[in-house]
Amino acid sequence: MLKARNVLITFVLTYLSIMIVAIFIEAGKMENVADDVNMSVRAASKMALRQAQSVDDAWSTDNGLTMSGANQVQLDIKYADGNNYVSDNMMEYICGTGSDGQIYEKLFNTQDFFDWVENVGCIPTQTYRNVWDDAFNGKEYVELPKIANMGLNFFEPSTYADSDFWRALQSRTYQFNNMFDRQNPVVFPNMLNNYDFYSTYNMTTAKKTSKVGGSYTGLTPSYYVTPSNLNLTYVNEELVSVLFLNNLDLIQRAKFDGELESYTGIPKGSLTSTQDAVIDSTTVKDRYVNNGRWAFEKGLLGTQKSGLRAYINDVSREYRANDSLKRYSNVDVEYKVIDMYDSSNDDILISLYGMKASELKANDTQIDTYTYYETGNYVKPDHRYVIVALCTFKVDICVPYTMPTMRDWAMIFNNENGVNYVDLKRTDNESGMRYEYTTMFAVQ
Amino acid sequence: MHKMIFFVFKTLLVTVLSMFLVDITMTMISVLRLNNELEATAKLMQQSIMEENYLTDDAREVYNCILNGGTPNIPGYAGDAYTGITHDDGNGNRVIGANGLTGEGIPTEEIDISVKDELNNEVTEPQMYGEFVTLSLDVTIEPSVFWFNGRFAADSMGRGWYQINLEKEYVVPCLRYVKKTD
Repeated sequence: MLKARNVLITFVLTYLSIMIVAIFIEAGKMENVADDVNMSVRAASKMALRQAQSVDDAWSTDNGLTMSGANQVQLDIKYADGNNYVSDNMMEYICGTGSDGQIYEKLFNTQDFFDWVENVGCIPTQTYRNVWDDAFNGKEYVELPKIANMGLNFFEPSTYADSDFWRALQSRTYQFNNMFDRQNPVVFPNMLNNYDFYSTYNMTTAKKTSKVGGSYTGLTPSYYVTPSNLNLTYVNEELVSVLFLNNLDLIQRAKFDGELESYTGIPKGSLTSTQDAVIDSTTVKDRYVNNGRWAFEKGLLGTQKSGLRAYINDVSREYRANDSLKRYSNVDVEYKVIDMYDSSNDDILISLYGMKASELKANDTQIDTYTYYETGNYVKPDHRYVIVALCTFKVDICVPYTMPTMRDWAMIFNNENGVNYVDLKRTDNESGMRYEYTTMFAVQ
Repeated sequence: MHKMIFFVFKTLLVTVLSMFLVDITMTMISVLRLNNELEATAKLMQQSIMEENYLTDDAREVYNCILNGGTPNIPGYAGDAYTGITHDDGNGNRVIGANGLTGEGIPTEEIDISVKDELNNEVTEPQMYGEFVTLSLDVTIEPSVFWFNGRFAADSMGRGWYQINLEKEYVVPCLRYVKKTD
């Protein structure tokens, strides 16, 4: 004869057993999801940094030419547009313009770039004073900030006397000396028109003409000189942010167990791992991107003050809340200039290049101009400076519980009614998890 | 007397069932281990494909050695040979792991790697940014199992080989920008 008490105890014990088993199974699944998130964010961020650099000399939408040859170059981006993925010219899409000059302006005529120039853009490059000063006949080298070469026509001249390079250098002496003087920095005027940016630097033009690589019949090969061309690490946060989220979107899409060509989001507050709910027509498009196991908040497509497009989401909104420039970015970048030949930087160098300072110096084939011209011998300099960018990528992710018991408990104890995903609390009381990944980056 | 007969048959039954259970368990452990190793390797392969827009020849060589054993035939490679998830047991047989009962590995075939585009063509060169390719890892194993055909005869029990095909597919996006010449 079963007593009511025994039946009750049996039920309770059974439920507790189920809970314990569910917790272990859930933990195992979470570990797999964590691996997945980790790999996806790492791949998306790594490629975004590479993409941002690779477009520097190849964003032309019409007759862009690279130094390597007279090939028309166009970089495409695939992004979600309504219900489908479409392919479009990348820089035109992100910058909202097809004009090369305007694209250049939007990427570099920004306060962010000027701050960068002031703080870390003064890594020197060595050149001869008789290049700088026409009246000087002796042998003496001068150090010029590398960034000063942005906009220079330094491949064009056959003789220094006629060169734009020489003229530009002479006229810019005062500007450069002051611009890179931290005690008396140049105040940049508000630049509204195209190419005003260059006139501030007294540069002749944004596009450079190249004679490298031989002649080009009927064409004048030209390219833009950018920090990347000059081996200077500059990460445009807004650009990288768009590329990062777009990459993550593509990775999610690839893992989605459904039609790859269709684009569907998931409604906030009712995350589910079942495909039927995912393709519900009531879903909020462009906001969350789900792969059936976890989702991230991509955000709504908008245009920033700088003219660059951005995915505006909770991370970027919070991150830029106090920014008067109204920038939206999921990426936070800090710069540091380090000496590649200083062994105290070995940890950073191994992370960046896989080599210690001593190994880097031994393998460095860059010629020290001064030593080379003075003595004719190749002697490695004692110091070599590189800019290292510490990039932090942030994204909000949501992971639904898979076990019914876990969902029930989340539903009961969560403040937000009907929410059944992993409900770690952030400071702003929003549900979901903020995932951060920090990596170092340097062009070399 | 009848108790003795009952005891003998009961012991036989328990023994056979135990052997069956242990065999199944060992097979499952081997398959799970294989699955985990395939998953781990596949993650690395996906990363490689994302960054290069296809599986480069060198990467394919290395991953083939990780899966099937051997020394990568890459100029300049001075490392050791990989043991491989599948390997030769020394008798010309390709096996995975070792079976707990017999000490032999589970017979298998080589793990096939294939990367195909959306039109099901094998990918041998970088795809454009945003294209999707499918990475497939295909392996067929033949674990031995005890079977009982329900008749009480000399050939009613024995060991057989059950074929399991594990075909794992991953859709991977190409994330590297490749310059396109129009």
